[in-house]
Amino acid sequence: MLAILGLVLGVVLGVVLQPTVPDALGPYLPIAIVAALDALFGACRAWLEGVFSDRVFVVSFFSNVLIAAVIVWMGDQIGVGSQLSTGVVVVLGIRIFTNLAAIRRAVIHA
Amino acid sequence: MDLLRLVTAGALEAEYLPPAQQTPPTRRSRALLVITVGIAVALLTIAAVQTQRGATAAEAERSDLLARISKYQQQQESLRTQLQDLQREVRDMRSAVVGEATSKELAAAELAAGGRAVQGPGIVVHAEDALDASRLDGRIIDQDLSQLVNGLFESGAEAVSVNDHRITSTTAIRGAGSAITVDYRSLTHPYRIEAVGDPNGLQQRFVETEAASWWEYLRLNYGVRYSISPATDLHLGADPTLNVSFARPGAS
Repeated sequence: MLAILGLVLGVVLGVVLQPTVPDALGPYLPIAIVAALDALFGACRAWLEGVFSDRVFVVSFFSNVLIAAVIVWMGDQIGVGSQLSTGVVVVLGIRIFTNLAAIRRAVIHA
Repeated sequence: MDLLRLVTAGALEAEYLPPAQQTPPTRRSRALLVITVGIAVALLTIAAVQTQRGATAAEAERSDLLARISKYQQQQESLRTQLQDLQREVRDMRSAVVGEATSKELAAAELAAGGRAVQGPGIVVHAEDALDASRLDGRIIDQDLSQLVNGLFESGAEAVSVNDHRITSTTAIRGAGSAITVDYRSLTHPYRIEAVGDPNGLQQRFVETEAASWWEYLRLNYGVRYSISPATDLHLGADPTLNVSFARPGAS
């Protein structure tokens, strides 16, 4: 229930405010979003498996987003360019896939 | 493989413990949950909205540019026609003012310089990119065309035009991106090069020029198509841009 409330809140905020992301943060937004998706799907799976804890979710969400953004920023600073972001996307992508597979198993038992 | 296993095994945060080992949620942690989900979804929405907005903006910009290009091209064309009309008017007025002998002299000079429309016998060269032309191979480029035009003049052509653009001593044949421009107007293939001159000698002399051997080389090695045919009555327009801005008559 609370999660749905948050969902509606987020959509409304995003659509109504339509904030412009500062150019300096532009490169980090996509990675931050992938990290956020990872945390969301992880939470979904945890909820379906009956081990959800809102504290863990909140902490994992913020740390994931922050770490992903920092890794991309670090890549820019040390000159490896977008290659570190590729690494982040690969790892987060595998995690999202795994969690979605687990969600699928939990929901339709197949 | 160990790395992959590590990633998949750790896909669920290890801190999600069985309920028995969890501290029950407090009011504050519930509020944090709502805020966090809100932030996550807001992030997604913002990104989606921005991407959408960027795409429409780029599309609008593109169609605006296209519209402006065609508008200015039309404007340029109408200005050219206007220029030709005015030049004709100037010529008429001039011949009314100056004497018969002077205007005859002037007409001869204009004829030789390309400032006047001409007609007469000559040859027509049809040139076309190779059938399997790619972006790099088998396409006629500006240098090929200028070689051809030079070869025609070399073999005695008195007036030459490329796709109805008259070539004079100040005409620029240049490449702009993938198009060839004559006096900064872009051409579309196939190219039709008309040359007015001695119909009997022109073609024979042209075959002996370097330009002809260059085009033969292009034809054999790149599949560029070209053919020469005689014509009895060619009409070539004047070069509307024929003028000098900086040159002054010098002491002879």
